Amino acid sequence: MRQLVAGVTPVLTGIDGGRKDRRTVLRELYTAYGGSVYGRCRYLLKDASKAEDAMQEVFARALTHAEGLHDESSPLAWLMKIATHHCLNQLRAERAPWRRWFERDELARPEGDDGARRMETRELVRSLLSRVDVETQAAVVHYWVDGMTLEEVAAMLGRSVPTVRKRLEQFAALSNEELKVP
Amino acid sequence: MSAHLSEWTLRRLHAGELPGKEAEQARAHVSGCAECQELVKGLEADQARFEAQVPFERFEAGVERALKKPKARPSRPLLNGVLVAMAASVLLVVLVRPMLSQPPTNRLKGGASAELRVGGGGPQRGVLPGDTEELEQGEKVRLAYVSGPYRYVLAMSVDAAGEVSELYAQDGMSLPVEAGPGRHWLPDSLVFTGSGYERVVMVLSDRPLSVEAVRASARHAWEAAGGKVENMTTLGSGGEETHWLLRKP
Repeated sequence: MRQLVAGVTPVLTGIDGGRKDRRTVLRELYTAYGGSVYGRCRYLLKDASKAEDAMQEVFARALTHAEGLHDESSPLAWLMKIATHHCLNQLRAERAPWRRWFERDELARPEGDDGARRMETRELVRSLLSRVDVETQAAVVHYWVDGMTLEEVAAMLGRSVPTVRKRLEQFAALSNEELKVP
Repeated sequence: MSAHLSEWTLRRLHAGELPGKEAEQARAHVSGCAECQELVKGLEADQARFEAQVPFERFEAGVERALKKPKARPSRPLLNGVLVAMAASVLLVVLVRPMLSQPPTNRLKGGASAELRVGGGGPQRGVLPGDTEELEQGEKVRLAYVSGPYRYVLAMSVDAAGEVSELYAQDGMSLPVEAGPGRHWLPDSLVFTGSGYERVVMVLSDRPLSVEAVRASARHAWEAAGGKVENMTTLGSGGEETHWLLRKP
């Protein structure tokens, strides 16, 4: 049976380089990244309880894969990638009834105070996600929701900028070019 | 340079992870840019709302619970669950022994290796990487590795239709290898459904690989091979790949 390294004290130099006890590390992760990761899980899962569970899984993973996080120049990117992947996978595993999922949109509590236009973009993105493959889903979420540049999305997904652009353009076509990539 | 910082840059600034000079420049920009200030305020509000909704003690307890939860077994979309326990013992106890003298392993750098064994139906046997092996009805497959210098392992398969399946991974990424120098069997056995070719690939790597990235590369590789899984030579995963080609009954 696989032994996970849950008991190992992680070294997260991405935060400050010191070797710390788990509670301290967790508190730093909570303060620096909790809102972002939770927001991602809420955005995709649309359920506070499921989002909290998913977020806990992501941070548990951060502790058990401390080396992976340590190697990243941006722990935020690592966490958001894992959170996005985890939630998209969960939706697939639940065989999420996408249509019903969208019908819940109106009931979902809006997140963030980013203004109506940004909310509209996020909602439009979400309403179209089910129509593309999982890699495009990830690219779209990182670009339109996280506000990454094409270069940042490409680096995160390990793809070339033209490939990411092409995927975003295909997605834009679904939105009648409302989500056109400049 | 664009008029505003990207939202992602502001997120990194807010998280305190931008390197010194970059952070300095970003802060200087934000201090004179109302729009970017608004975005940063929004991020601060998100964090404050989160902390109000999920206090640290609850967060910590939840993460601890998640750490203690038995991990989901590596995904095996084609696994025959009923036969798992039985197959594991059959393959380990009965099948391994005769093959120890001449293990059909794939030797990789630094003493690493990968193995695929078939059993449970016809004659129990190992399969040489690069060979095509005919499976009989109900036969099962197990995979093993010696990690050598590698730290992560991932197993995927591609069928004749180009469908890429995740065989062994964890939360969408490679598994950390088991500690210890010897051979490690990946848990349980696999039964492949359908008929025709199935390419099984084990990828050992220094860094964890994303299943979705490997899946996308594999799909491209399948297309580049003219849609013929038997002609594929690599998944383009970026790790050390070992391939076996199976033909399902």
